[in-house]
Amino acid sequence: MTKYVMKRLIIGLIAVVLSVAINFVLIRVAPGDPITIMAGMDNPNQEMIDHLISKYGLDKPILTQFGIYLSNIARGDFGYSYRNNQPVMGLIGQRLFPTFLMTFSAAILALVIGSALGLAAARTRDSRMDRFFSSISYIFDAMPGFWLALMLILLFASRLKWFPTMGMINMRAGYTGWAHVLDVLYHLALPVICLVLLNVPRYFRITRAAVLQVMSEDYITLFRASGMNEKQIFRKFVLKNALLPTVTIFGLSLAGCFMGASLIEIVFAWPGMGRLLLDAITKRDYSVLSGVYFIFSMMLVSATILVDVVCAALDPRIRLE
Amino acid sequence: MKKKSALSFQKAWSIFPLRLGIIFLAILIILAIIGPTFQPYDPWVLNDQILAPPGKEHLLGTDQYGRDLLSRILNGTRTSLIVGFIAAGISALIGTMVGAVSGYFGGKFDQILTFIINIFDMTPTFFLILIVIALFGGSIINMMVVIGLTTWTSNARLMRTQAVSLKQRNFVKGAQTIGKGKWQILFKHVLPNGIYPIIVNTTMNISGAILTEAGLAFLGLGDRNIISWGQIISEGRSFISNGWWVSTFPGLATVFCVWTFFLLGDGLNRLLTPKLQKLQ
Repeated sequence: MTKYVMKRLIIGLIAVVLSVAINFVLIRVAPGDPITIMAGMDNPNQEMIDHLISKYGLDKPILTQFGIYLSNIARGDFGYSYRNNQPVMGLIGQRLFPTFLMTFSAAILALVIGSALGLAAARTRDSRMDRFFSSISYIFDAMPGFWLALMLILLFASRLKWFPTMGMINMRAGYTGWAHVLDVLYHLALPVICLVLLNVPRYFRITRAAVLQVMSEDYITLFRASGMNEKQIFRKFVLKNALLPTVTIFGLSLAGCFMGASLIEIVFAWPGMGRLLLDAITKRDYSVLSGVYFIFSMMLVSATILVDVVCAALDPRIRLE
Repeated sequence: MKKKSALSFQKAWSIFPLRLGIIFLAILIILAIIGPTFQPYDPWVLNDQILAPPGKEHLLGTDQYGRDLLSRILNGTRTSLIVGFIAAGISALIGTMVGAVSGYFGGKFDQILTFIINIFDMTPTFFLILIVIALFGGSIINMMVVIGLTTWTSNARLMRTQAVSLKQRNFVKGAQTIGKGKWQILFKHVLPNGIYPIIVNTTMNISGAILTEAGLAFLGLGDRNIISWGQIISEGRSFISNGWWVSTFPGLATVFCVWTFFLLGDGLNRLLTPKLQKLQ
């Protein structure tokens, strides 16, 4: 087990270093010179140029440059956003909480709703409900997330006025205490509904497939043949085995959800990573872009390793391979 | 031979999602080919009726510059299909070749490939694409190439598994015994017999590529010289309260198009891997 974990950790570490390397190479092969790209503006002044050259060793050989770049990142220095006059790490740090709040609430709700629907659909296989959810799940998968967000705003915020159209708090009211919490929840509702709608299909399908898979196993047939109560079989044997894949993909989906949330945050003007990303794109603030990319890589790597380790802990076949 | 293909077409037609997918795809392709000839207006020409609601003159209304929305959406069909097919095609081509060679020959190359696939699994692909496009510019060619180059690993993994298992089969071993060359066996026996999962996966990749292009266009990284659905949705965002139609219709078109490829993928999966049918 320890050997397996170590192996996964090393691969993860290499993946992170590789994503840094990709970033490093891209800046250098892209049109325009690295200094203007890192400065994030067309005409950086002489002091800024000198500072960047000395900080990143741009006058040194390329491998030394990579070493410097890597050690900066290892120390948590993702560069400086001259556009915002702030270090990139600080900019990202401010945005993490709103994004986490939105993603976690949506992911947990999607997990619960999706697997409940999946269970119900698998139990009443080929019923009208099963068919309905199975076919509608593909339609939600086919939707661009940002478009669904726009449609929800159009319907529930613009027309029906049930929810606010944008933001995280009501700026004018300036609530404090519980009123503030309620205000945030009120603003959170629509973006979370959007993310839940987009993520439920995945849990639905995985749970449904897992239940059907377990129900087709020989030992279930044996229980049936022995005259055991159908409900009892389901609760005692099918459920436990079928929920395993759902729970283990939760980690990966969470990372995916986190990234997918970016575009939705933009539509809802939610003050999270997505907003930061859009600003960085429109202002060509490359250091922020690469910082965001790095954070997402880190997150995906940790989620993957965590899932692998959990799977290996639960299933000895994986770790002995 | 002819009879066999007729039979398999009949079988394909009997699978409902596949039938629906084929019909929808035919509609999309026809629209992409003849749409621009039959468009009611020039999609680039501005006119005075700004944000006109859907009506007799403009069937789906006009956008903020008074351009006819229906004509723009028709032109967007072509963009989406081209991006989807070419990006997924690049991905399938690289993935199949790399996966087949790696699975069939094994050895060092195989180890390196497995390692690369593991690494790619941990890469946030959409953001990698985003960064490349932000640095190199979002021309439609760049976009297709970058999407293709970042998604081939799923195909390589599938093809590798196929090649590893086909290698053990008697007909491949037989070909080896009678002295057929390794590459000949690879192209004549391994590739044609192992290609089915790649076909299914490629239809899914087409959907993915279309959604990726839409997402990039929404972030303002799209090709400005080309009309794309994502771009129209993105432009309509500012007018959502007084011109709902601008964002709504191109979005519906995207859903329809992506869903078509899901149907095709699902249907092909049932057609090509009959064992799975029992489970689904």
